[in-house]
Amino acid sequence: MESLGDEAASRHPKRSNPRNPAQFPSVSSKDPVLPMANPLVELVTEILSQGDEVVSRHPKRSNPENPAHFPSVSSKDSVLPMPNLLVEFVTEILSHGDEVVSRYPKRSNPGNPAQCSFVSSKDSVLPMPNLPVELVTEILFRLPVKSLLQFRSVSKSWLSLISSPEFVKNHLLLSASNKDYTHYGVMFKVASSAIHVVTVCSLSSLLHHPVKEAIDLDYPGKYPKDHRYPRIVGSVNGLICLANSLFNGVQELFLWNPSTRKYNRLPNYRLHRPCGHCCLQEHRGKCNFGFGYNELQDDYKVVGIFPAYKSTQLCRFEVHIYSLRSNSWRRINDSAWEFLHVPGKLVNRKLYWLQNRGNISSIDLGNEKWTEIEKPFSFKEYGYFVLGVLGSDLSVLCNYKNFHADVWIMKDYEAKASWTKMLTIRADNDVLVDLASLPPRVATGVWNIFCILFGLSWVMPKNMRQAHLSWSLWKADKAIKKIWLMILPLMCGLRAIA
Amino acid sequence: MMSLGKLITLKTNDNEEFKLDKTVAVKLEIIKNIVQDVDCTSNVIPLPNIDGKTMTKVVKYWKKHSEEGVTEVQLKNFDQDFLKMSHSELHDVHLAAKYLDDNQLKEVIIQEFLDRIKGKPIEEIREVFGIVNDYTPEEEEEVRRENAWAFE
Repeated sequence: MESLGDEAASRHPKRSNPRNPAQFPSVSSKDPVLPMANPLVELVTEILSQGDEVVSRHPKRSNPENPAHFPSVSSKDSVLPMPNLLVEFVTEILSHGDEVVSRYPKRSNPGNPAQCSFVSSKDSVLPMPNLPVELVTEILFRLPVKSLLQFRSVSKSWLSLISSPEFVKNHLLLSASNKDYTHYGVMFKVASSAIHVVTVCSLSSLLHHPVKEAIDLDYPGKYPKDHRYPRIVGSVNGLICLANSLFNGVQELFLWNPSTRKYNRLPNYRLHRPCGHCCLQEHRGKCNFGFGYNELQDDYKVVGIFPAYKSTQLCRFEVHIYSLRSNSWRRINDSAWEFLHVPGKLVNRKLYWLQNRGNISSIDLGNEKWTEIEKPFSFKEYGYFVLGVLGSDLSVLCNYKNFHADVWIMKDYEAKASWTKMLTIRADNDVLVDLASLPPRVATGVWNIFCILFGLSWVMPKNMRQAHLSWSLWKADKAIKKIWLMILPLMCGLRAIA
Repeated sequence: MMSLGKLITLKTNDNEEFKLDKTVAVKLEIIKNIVQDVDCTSNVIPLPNIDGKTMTKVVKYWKKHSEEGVTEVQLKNFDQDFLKMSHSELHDVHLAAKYLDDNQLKEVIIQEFLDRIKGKPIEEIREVFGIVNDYTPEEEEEVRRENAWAFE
């Protein structure tokens, strides 16, 4: 039932060390919860550089260090009538050039283990047409995960090529930068007779033929006749951390790769039970999680925050952290703050939560230290806040009197946090999703999917409308509860857990 | 710097010469670089990695794609015809495009390979790539079983 990758690995020990940390792609630090930063820039770049259509369909990998490949912002006016606000935002994004560009795969790397492993087993390849490894790799990079899973059975050398960490990493990067979003999946949560179903379809099919290509997926922990409520804790690099509430209030956690349909169930956490006054009441369902990736340690971590009560009085929050590398939970420094019941948001190796009194707290996944950021004075006038990730920055959607909402993003993480207002959404504008009319939780979902996915609705008005239309049609048909999240295709299975 | 003649000559490794209008040739990054570097006395650019047969194809592609007033439909039809070649010829053109740093042509070739393998059974994939199955039947069955859903 669980730990699917390990089975395979033990049967073919040569292929991949199940404990090999490198099996997970180490994507750059700035990955938000939805790893959208790169596609966003790609999208913007694409729109700004309509000139050489065919060439620009794929990033110019031959010269990944050259920031000049980002077209100058000045060329954009002719393409799309975008508000000035967006122009600034685009400039902002493009100024991240170095970081974004470095995420492009460098396929010509001679030390590429994927290529080496393939070459070393070349004896299995006929000398006839015998396409070279490089071309084969280029071709395979562009295939969806499902095809790659099939192609594992072509030959042993293909198996080792496709399973190599380098291949997995580059495949993910290339898929992320594909401007057609062909390989992106969009997940929906659909309710039918009280059983939750997770449906997935590719983003491109969502825009064109949503119903035709959608498939229902069995999510981990799904049992027939069970009314469990799966929640997404977070998603990084194509992996999803999923939490299921069990009847006794305990949270069952999974790491899930929907692209390969493999998952691991996390071991149970053990809360500290102090003698005497406080007791942890997890059944109150107030525990809070965050899922993140620290590429410095190449480790995926889940942070769990559990409230402790003294009779009915909340007295502290016990914090436990799970590391995929050690496959175990550890207790770390308690948190002194009460957070809103929303999963943490990952930005730059830190998980952020909104406190119930409006400040923001973060935990560094490296040193596991807490930091608090005060609520900016300029936020005072707003009603509710929703924390999100916009591009590669922490963002706060601030709702003001239900007819307009502002989106701020945080810059300068090291010193004093500085906030920049990125855009304002007005209910009376011709905006696609009227966020103000939606309950916050739904608004967050819509926000996540449409804004983080497409960048901003202004960037691609036509497709946004199409997507929304498809979505509305679909909703009527399928009783969609919520758009869940968009997910990148990740080739590799989860690292085996002993 | 090279003299400002209207034509430049590309010379393949089997000594075939291709005269190209300079406006076509300088569109390519590599040619531009070579043009800038090459000794001014000759207008001949050697292409030591490309043979005449392959270069004929590449030049045909370039010429069509830099033609003035050519419609998208015409280009599409041209590409379709152009790509009617064997796997290994396709590969040669890919190598040449790579050497010439022509990303557009490279992508066209890769896309053609993708189309050729799309939806094909594993046996045909092996054929396209010239691969001999080195699994025993049991091993292959096992590898398939690990991701049985992908074969549905």
